[in-house]
Amino acid sequence: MTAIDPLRDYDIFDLGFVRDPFATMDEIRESGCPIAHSDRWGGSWFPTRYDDVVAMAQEHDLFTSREIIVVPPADPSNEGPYADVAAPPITSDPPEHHWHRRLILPFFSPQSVATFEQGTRDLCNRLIDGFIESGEADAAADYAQQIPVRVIATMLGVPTDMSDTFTGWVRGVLETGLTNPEVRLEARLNILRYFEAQLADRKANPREDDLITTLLHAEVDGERVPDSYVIGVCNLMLVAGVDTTWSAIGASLWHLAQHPEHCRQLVDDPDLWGSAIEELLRAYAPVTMARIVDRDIEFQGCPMHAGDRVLMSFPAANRDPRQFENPDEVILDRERNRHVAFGAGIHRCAGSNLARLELRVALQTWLSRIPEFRLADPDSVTWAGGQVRGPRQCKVTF
Amino acid sequence: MRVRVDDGSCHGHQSCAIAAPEVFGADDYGNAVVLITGDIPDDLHAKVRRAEGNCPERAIVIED
Repeated sequence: MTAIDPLRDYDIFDLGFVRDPFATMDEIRESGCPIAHSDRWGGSWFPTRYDDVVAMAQEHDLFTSREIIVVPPADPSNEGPYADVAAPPITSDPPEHHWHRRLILPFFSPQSVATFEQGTRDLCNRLIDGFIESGEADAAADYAQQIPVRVIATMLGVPTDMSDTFTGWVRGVLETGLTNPEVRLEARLNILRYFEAQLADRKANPREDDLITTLLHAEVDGERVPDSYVIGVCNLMLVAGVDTTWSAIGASLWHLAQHPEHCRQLVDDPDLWGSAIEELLRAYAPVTMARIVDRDIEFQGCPMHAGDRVLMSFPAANRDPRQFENPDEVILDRERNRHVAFGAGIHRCAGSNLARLELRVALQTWLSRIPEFRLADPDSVTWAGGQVRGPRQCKVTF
Repeated sequence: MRVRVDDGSCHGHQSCAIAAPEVFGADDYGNAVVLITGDIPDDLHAKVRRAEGNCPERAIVIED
């Protein structure tokens, strides 16, 4: 038993919560007060019921995206020339949100992301080639972690051999930097400086079929979009497209390592993949976003004030028994699954089609080559949590 | 059975196209479009109901 009272003092960075957040979420959800509050880490509200989380996601004028990180940022005056660079459209509110999002959506339509399928499959096979003979691997570090960063780099048109550097920056923003504003700021500035140089290079040497070049030439109401927008989009794609998908791939492999019957089902019945991917996303939704309350309001009996932070816990929503039968059970052919792993409303994850493709291809390729595998030592698995939850070390044998 | 997508509610999750790819697709921005005009063939009714039950925005409207 923990000494922490989850209703009044939850701590999303507590190691026990990171390892297993679901017991705490259940306790809050089934209490008389399903929206908890804690003063830790700058203070936040923590809705745990599906209907509340979805309603808050859809009420974007009340629960704004001025800040989306779960802990308050460092003093913006430390950011110098980059203070106005955000991560559009995830950090945008209407009316700008509309064009911030509309310009990038075509890159992430199902038709567009399908062009990355074969390259992703080849990448997964190369990674497996590197460890299959040894009979063991770290499914998180050697495999899951290596995939999305290279896919995103390819999409952005930047060198994939920078992958380890990109991964370090992303972890600086979303993992170690979450509780350490100085680390977060340094990582953020590294990302923004890098993409500012990429923009300068594209301006001098425009490239065909290149996302950054396309955005640099985009116009809204007859005017070129500002560089700060393009740098911000690149920032978003890196920060939001790497840790998240890698966490989903890793958590799914962690699950499959303990459920050989699910591995067999997926190998025997390829038609299962569509619903299976959705179910794994539901059960192991990696992402918790934040919202800032726009004005004083009472929401479901909670006295919220302008500027309060709300944790949009999509993982908690996805385990609500009011919405999902047997929510803690992974049912690969689940019939009704309105999961919100990608959020809901106008901020639905713009990269969701790409994330799904990467998750499916990563798991399909793994199972085609390694149909039977198990955790080497369940106690040695380590997890990251807070904003993005997933395994960081997950040794398996086969 | 007929089916339509409420454009104001759809935010492009594509859950419908995963459940019933014969019936739902995506426009250039990833929002759902119904690919079948008029009555949905009987053998696709179950898939359409599944699509409806998988939309997080409740944007799928079935008219029996």
